[in-house]
Amino acid sequence: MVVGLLLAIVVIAVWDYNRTHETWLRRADYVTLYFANEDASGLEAERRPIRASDDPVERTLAGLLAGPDTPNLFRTIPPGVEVLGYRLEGNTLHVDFSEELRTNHWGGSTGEILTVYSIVNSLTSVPGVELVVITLEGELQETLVGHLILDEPIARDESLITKG
Amino acid sequence: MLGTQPHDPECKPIRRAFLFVWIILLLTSAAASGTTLLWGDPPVELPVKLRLEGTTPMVPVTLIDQFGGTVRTIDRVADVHVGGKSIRFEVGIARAVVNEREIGLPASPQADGDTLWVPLRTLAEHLLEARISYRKGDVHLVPWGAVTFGSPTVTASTVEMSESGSDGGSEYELEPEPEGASEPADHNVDGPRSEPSEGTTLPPEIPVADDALSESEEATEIGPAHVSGQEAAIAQAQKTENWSASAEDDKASDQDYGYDPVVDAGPITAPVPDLVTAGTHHLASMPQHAGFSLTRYARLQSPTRPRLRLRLPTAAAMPREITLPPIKPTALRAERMDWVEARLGQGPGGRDAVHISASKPFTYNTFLLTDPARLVIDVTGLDTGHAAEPLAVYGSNIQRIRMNQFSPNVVRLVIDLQDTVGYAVEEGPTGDEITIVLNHMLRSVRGQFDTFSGTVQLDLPRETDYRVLRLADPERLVIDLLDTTLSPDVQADLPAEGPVWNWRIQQFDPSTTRLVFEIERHLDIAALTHYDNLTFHIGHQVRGIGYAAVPDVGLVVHIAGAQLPDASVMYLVEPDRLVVDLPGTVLADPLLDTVIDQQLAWRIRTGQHPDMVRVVFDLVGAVEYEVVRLPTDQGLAVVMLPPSLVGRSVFLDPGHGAHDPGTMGRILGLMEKDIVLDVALRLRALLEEAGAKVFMSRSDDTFVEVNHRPVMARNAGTDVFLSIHVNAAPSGNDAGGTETFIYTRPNHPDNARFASAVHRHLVSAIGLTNRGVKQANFGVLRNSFIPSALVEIAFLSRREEEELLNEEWFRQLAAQGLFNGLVAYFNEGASRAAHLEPNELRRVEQGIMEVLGNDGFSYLPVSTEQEDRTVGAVRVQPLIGG
Repeated sequence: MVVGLLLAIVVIAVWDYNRTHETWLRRADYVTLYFANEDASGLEAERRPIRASDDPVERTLAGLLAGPDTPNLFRTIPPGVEVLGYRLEGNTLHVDFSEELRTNHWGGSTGEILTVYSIVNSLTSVPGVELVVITLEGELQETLVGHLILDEPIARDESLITKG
Repeated sequence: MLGTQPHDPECKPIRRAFLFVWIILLLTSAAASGTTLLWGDPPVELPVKLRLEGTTPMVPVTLIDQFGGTVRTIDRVADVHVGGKSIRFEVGIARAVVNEREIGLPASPQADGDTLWVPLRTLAEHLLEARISYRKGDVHLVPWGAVTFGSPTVTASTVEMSESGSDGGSEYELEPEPEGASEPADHNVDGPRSEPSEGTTLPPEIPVADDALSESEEATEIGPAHVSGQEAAIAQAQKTENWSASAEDDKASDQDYGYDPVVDAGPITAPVPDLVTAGTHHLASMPQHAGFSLTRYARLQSPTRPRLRLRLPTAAAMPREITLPPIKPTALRAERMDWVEARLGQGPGGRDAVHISASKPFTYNTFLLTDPARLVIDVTGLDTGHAAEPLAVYGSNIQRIRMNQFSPNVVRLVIDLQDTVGYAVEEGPTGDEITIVLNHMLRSVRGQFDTFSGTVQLDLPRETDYRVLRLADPERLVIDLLDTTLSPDVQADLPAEGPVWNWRIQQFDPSTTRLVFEIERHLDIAALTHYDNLTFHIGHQVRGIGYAAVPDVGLVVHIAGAQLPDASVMYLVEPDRLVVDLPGTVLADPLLDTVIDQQLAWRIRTGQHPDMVRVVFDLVGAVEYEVVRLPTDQGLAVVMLPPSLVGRSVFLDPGHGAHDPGTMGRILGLMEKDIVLDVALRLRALLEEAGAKVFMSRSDDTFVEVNHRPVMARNAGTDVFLSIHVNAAPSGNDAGGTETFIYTRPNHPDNARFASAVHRHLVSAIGLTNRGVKQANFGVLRNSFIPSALVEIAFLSRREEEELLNEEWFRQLAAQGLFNGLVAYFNEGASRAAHLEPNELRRVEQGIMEVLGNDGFSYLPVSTEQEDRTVGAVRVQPLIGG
C-alpha cells in the first residue's frame, strides 16, 4: 500500500514536471509560421525550432511551403509552388515565387489575403525584415489573383493574427 | 523572440501530487462509509444496504432472512413470512397486504435487478415488532418491549438529516397548536432550554427514549410495553386537563372541530396522580390508553419546537403537493387502525384543491361555516385514534388544514379559509378518496381606460375558465368567470372612463362571477396571454385584414374596423419588415400568419399585444409606405410603393472575366466570373426599374484590368462604385459567409456607410454567416474616389454555398439584397414614408375605394387551430406574430 502510494506520487510528479516544462523548446531558436485558421477569418501562428546554423528566412519559406503541423490550421500556399530566390535589401525582403502561386491558387479575396499575409507576417517575424516584396517569376504583379495590390512593398498586418 | 524559461519551485509538482493522492484517498473513504442498519440493544450491525426513497428508508426484502423469515417472489409480487405473520408486497404499488388486511406503505416497493426494495418501516412494524430510531446517521431497529437506550448526544442536526429532503427549499416549521401555547406554566412551557437533552428532564423512573423526542413521526411509535399503567394514567389525566383547558379557551363555535372529548376515551382506571410532579414532563412519549394515542397531542404542547419540518418550495408560488403526515397506526393497535391523508393540490383552472384519501372506503359530509370561514368535512367510517398536526398554508385562500378523530367512527377535517368560498367535491372511483376543489376567490379588479381602450386585470390565475358575451340595448360586454366566488370585500380600482361608461360586478350564481361593461359600439374584448393573472383588453375592433395589388398604386393592405385610432409604422431590418401598430385595438379573430406572395411583401402576421394589435409585413425589398384613412369609416389602408432611385447613378463591377475565371467551385465547377456577371445584370434590372442610371465595367465575358475599373467609374461620373465577387478559402477549409471590403485608407468619407448599408441588406436577404465589413488593400478600390465597396457574396469553395450560387432564385435574392442596400444608402434607410402629395393621396384613395367596392381584397383567413374560446361574439387568441 505505502509502496504503491509512493510510486503513484513519483509517477504523478514526473508527469506533472513534464507537462509544465514543455517550454524547453523555447531554449532553442524558432521561426514563426502563420497559417489560415479554421473559419478563414485570420492567421494563427505555429512555431518551428531551428538550429542556430539555419537561415531563418529559408526555414520560414520552407515551412510555409510544407504547410501546418497543427490540426485545424490550413496551408496558405498552394501545392507545387517553388521559391525561386530571395534577397534582403535593407529591411525589405524580396521573395520570388514560381507562377504556380497564381495558377494553382484557389482565388477569392479571403484566400488571397490569407496567402499574401501568411507570407508577409511569417517573414516579418524574422528579425531585421520589416517589408516584403512578392514577385512571380521575377516580375512585379498588379495583384496575385485579382484583388490585393501586390506592386508595392507590403508591411506586416497584426490585425489578421487571431492567435499569436 | 526567445521565450524565457519559467522557473517553478522544484517541490511544486511533488506537493501537487500529494494533494492529488490525498483527494483520492478521501473520496474512497467517503464512499466506503454509509448508513448502517442496527438491531436490538446493544445495537448489532445488520449486513444490509439502506437507501432513501424521498425520506423513507428502504431495505432489500431479503433483510428478513436475518430474522429467520422467508421470501417467496412470484413475478412482481413478493410474499414475506416471519413467524406467523406475512406481508404481500407488489412492485410499484404503495399498498401491501398484512395478515389478509390491506395497509398503505410509506413508499412503493421497487425492483432493482434481483433486489426488491421495501420500506423498512413496514417490515419493522408489521413483521419484526420493532420501531425505527435514527441515531447519529444510523438507523436503529428497536424491538418493542426492549428497554431503549438513552443517548443525550442526539442532536437536532441528526433529525434534520433524517427528515429533510435533499432538495433545496426553505423550511417552515409548524407552530404548536394555539391551545398548547396557551397552556399555563404547570406544563413548563417556557422552561429553560439549557438541558443537554430534552429527555433528561423526565423523572428517571419513566424510561423514555430521548432520541424518540428528537424524531418527528417516530415519537408516535414509542413502544408502550415499558410504560406502566400508572404512568399511562398520568398521561391520561394530563390529557383530561389539557382538553378542558382547551375547551375553556376556545369559543363555543370551535368545539365542532375540537379534539377528542375525553369521555370517549374510556374509563380512567388509575387514580389521578399529582399533576405538579408530572407537570414538568415534556410529554415526549405519551403512552397509550384505552385505544387512544396522545403522543401527537403531547408533542404539540411540548416546550421544544415540533420536530416535524415540512419542506416547502422556495418559489414564491404557494406551496403545492404537500403531504400531510399520514395518521399512522400506533404500535399497539396497528392491526385495527385506519389512516386518512389530506394533501394540497391544484384543481382544474389552477384552483386550490384538497385531496383526501383513506385506507378504506368512507362516506362524508361537508359544511361551510362562517366566522371564522372554514370548511368542515366529516369522514365517516374510519378509526384512526389520532389528531394530526395541522398543515399551515401560505398565500392561498386555504390557511390551515386540521384533522382529528372526532368520534370513534368519524374523522373531522377542517379547512380554515381566509374567505368563505364556493367548493365542489369530486369523488374518486374507489370510494376511499375525495377531492375538495375550492372556487377561485376574486378579490381585486384593477385597470384603467384611456380614450380608446383599457386593460382590466383580475387577481385570478391565467388558467381560470371564463366566457365572454356581447349584449345589446344598451351595448354591453359581459365576462363570466367560471368557478369563481366574488369576495365580499372585493377591491375595485377601475374608473369607468373613455369607451366604458359604466361597469359592475356580481355573483351571478354560486359558481359564476359576472363582470359587465357598458360600452360604446365597436368595442371588443380580448384576453391577454402576457400576464400571469387573467387580464382583458377592451378596445376598438379590427374586423379583418385584407390585401390587394391596386393598379397604379402598389400593394394595399386594408385594415377593416370602425373608428380605428391612427396607426404607427416602423421599418425594421434583418429581416426587412414593416410593422404597423394599431394602438387601442382588439383583433376580432385570431388571424393566420399568411403568405401573400406579392411583389413587395411576401407574408402578413398579426398579433394581439397588451394595448394594441400589431400587423407585420415581411418585405421582399425596400418599399415606400403610406397609411391612408379611408372615408365612410372603412378603416385604414397601408399603401406600399416601390422605392424610387430617380436621379441616382451606380457603377457595377462584376469581378474577373474572360481568361481570369476568378475562383472555381470545387463540386459543380462554377466560375466566379459567370456568377458575379449574372448577379450584376439582375441588379442592373432592379436599379433601372427604380429609375437609377447604371454603368458596368463589363456586361459580358470580357477582361478588364483591375486598375482600369475605377477609372471607368470616374469617367462615367456615377455616385457609387460596387464591385461584386464570390469568395474562396484555402483548399480544405470549409469557411462560409458573406463579407464586404472597403479600402484600407479612407479615400471617401462615405465608404463605411455605403459598405455597411450594402453588406447589411445583402446578409439580411441571403441569410448566410455575417463575416463583417473589412478593410483591405484592394486594387479596384485604391483609385476610386467615390463611395466604393467590394462584396463577396458567398464562398464558392464551400459546398453548400456553391449549390446556392448555382440557383437562380439565390442570385436574384443576392441582387435584391444589394438593391435594398443601395436604396438604403441613397434614402438613409431602405424603406421610408412616401409623403404623398394631397392630389396623389386622393388618387390613391379613389383607387383603393374602387377595389374595395369590387370586393377586390383578399382577407386573411381566421385561425381555427389555435385555442379559441369563442362564446357569442368574442374569443381569446394566443399571440402570433411580433
